[in-house]
Amino acid sequence: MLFLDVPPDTTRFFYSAYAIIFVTLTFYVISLIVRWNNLRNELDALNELEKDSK
Amino acid sequence: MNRAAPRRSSTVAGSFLRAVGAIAWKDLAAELRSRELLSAMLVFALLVILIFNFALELDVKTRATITAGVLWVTFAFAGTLGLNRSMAVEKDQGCLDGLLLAPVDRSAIYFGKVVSNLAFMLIVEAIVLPVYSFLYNTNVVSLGLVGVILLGSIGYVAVGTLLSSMAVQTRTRDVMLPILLFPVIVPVLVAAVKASSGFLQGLPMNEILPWLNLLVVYDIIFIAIAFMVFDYVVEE
Amino acid sequence: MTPTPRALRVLEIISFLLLVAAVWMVFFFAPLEAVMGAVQKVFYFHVANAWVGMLGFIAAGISGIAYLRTHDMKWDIVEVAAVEISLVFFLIAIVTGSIWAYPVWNTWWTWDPRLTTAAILELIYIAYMLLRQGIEDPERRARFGAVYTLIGGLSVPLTFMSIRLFRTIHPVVVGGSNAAAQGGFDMSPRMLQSMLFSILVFSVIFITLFWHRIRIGVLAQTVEQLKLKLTQ
Repeated sequence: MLFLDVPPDTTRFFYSAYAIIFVTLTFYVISLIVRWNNLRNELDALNELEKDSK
Repeated sequence: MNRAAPRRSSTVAGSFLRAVGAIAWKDLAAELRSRELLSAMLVFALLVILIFNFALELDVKTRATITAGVLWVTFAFAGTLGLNRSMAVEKDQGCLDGLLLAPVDRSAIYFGKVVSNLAFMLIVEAIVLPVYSFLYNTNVVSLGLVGVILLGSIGYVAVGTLLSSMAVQTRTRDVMLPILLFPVIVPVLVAAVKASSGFLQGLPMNEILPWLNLLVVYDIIFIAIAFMVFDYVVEE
Repeated sequence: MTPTPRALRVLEIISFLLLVAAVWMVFFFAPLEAVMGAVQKVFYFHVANAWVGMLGFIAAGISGIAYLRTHDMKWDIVEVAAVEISLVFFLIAIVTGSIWAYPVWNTWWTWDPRLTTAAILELIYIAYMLLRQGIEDPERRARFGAVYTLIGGLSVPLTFMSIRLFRTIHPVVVGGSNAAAQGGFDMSPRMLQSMLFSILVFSVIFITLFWHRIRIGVLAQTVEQLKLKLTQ
């Protein structure tokens, strides 16, 4: 490897890696939120059903 | 868990072995009559070798280094077929429930299935080896190789029997087994391929020995774990 | 359903702030490496994610054993949460590692012991999730999941050892003898600090997400039980 005065420009890899990290984490967090809300709604609906059937 | 009534230890061991033998023999006898499973495994194995022939353009020199890999891939795939069918038959015909009701240690069921699955796999391997030698005009049959194939198959079947008992109880059944089995069986396959390759290339024994040792260690570990955990997989 | 505990809310805020701090550190505090350039900085979050992925693996294994011994469903909830989160973090680690590898090693992938074991580990995580999806009965799902984490947990270290042995006995002739040598670098103090801080940050993020995922698991169990009760 040549010893350059200036390091090679690998910034596009750097940025894409960090973009992937954030996109993935964001997707996962969103999926957690969505799943939580769906379950909450389901629970509320089931509780309603239980109340009605009593 | 069912246990036999307290007896002198020699009789308990005897009845355990008898149970294992009975379960293994049930499968072997059934197979002797129908020969469905063996023919399916065998034809499949030979087809895989055929496909490798076209896929890999094996000249004599290259062949020496990758024969071990080709053989083990073949055995792994054919083995999956055998494991799947063997368990599916149990489940579909309700045999498994019947076995579980019998006053027999659950681990006897595990070992019985391992013995019969191993027998099927070894029979297929015993036929594939000479056929491979014939097709490629090299002699792959040697005592060392046979030993490695035996050890590797034991490890493969030990884990495979456990995982196929699980896979057969899922919705996706047959497809599930390779997905579960292959990542987990890598240590056995690596050691088996390296040892096989050693014998095929005529490497000195001291180079092959570490792989054989590894294989024996893996076999012991996997058999021990699988048999301890088998209860949890078949309990109702 | 129980509202988010205050401790968890605080943890969320701390995680977010720590993440911002870590990003700042990586972008501005950590020095530019001479040989590889900017891409070396991928290392910080790559190592942090891999570390956290391994943590989850261990947590899953422990939960599996705990479930088999106690048959308490809470261990199953913990186990699936650990596997799911580790799956995500480890995937990030593998992908970022690959992106780092390309300009440095001139290849997206090599089959050295660590990478091969990482790929197998990720496949085991995925197999685990597929296994669970194929089982309706919650009790059986828990049992099988625990058994598989046990088998996987044993197999992965063995795999790593065998492949390591594999590589030392037969040195890689094609593609460079020691992959680690091309891409290794001496860490200056700032680099070390950035790395350690990143590991800390992702550990905190792991705990936050883990807690949330467990809450989802508990809620899902409540819903499932209620459904069962109402259909009887």
